[in-house]
Amino acid sequence: MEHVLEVHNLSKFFLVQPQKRTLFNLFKRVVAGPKTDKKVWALQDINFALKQGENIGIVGHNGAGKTTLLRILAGIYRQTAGTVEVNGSIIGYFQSEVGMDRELIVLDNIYLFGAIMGLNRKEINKRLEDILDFSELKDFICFPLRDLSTGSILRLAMAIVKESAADIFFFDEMLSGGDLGFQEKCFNVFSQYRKMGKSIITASHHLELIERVCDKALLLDHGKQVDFGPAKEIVASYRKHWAHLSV
Amino acid sequence: MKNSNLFSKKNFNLLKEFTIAKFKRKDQATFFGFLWSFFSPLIMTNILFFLFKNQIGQAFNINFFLYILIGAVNWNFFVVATGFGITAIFSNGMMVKNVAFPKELVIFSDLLVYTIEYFLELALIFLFMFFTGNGISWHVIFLLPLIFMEILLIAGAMFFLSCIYVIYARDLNHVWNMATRMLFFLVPVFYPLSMVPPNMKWFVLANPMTQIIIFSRDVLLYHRVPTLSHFMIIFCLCAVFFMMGYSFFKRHEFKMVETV
Repeated sequence: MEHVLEVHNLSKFFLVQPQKRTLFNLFKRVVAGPKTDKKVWALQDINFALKQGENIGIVGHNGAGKTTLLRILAGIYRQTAGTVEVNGSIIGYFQSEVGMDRELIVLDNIYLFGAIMGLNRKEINKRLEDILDFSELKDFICFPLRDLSTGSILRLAMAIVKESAADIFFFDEMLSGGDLGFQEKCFNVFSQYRKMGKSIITASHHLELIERVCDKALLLDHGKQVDFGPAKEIVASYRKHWAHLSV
Repeated sequence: MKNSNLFSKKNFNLLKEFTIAKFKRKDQATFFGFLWSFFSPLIMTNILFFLFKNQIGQAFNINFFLYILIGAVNWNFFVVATGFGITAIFSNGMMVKNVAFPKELVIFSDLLVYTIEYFLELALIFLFMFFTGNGISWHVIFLLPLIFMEILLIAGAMFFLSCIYVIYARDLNHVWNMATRMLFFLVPVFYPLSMVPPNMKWFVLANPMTQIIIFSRDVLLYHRVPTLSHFMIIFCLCAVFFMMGYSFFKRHEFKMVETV
């Protein structure tokens, strides 16, 4: 099978500025140079490849570099070193409510978030029934988003994401905040994606999701690639690692 | 959504939806929301008119109220758009950090919202032109290239300021607020250029907003065809501002996304 995404020797560091960002400090930086900036490595030497129709899970502790890696893959951040080759269209959904407006009503948010996911009003209107069915928000279409629960907003976002067309989907902790019903709906969507030859890369602490949905998994520890292989094996080793630490 | 082509259909759709959402959020879609667009320049014009009508206004052989209103509307457009534009990227930080899209769309959508407001304020000028007997002439067509140039200038400033604000100086908005208050007195909104001391004139004339206000008074108040040289001066100033601001923004785009 053809690779739709290849990552070679990917590294990323951030320059962290300890001082407050003020005009006075900017003046000091211009005069003395940014000497106090601290280099923090977020990712070091990451290598993996994704085949068409394959799903990869990214696991690791908080701050391991999962979100940074997804943001680089999605083209939001630029890597310091290494290459990312993507063959196909991509869509990333990284955080609940991102791209939505709490003050606007549900319908306005469907158009707004739909545009972010690459859908125009005509396309959304065609799929509106499906979006409202999936999100279970048919009776709340004129309600402001602020009146909805976090779970409902998550359902709405996922309902729109599933209508968008892409070859590779990136998700970051997308099941957290959703109930069991929502999780089952997502599992169904993922199995449909697989049938359609679409691929998923998801970062999550929800290890059941990784085992159930992903073929392979990537284990990160403080920005370094610990292991990459079959999802069940990686999850087992991750569990073992944490069980060992908690003793 | 990764989309590198700025002029793709998807990006136009995204720009449209951002603008609609911002417009609705600003309550501009309501009747009273529209009225707010008129109040600010109208109140400013009234205050300046009553303060200076005897000292400055009597020296004029034209409608002094309209003279101030044209200056105030153009100045207001610049101040409001750049003032809010400074924090445009920062206040959309979560989206900027989590969605792959050309970040300039955030600036352009903000600018579009303020341009719509500006058009409403222009309607107010036309209303006063009609009712005060000044009349509306065919010279109004020259307003279209002028508006385009003013948008270029404001966009350039917004790109530059929003980028500096996010990456280097989170107190820039306070400084900019003060700077525009001071600049107000260096732009001929309520006084004629002839009142400016000769040694200061070059400084006032070098300001693109001065040129824009003079140009708009030429076509709206004096019904004059602007000279080609005047047109070219404004175009060059605005284009240079836009290109400098936009290239600075694009050069720092990734750093801005990481810092926001």
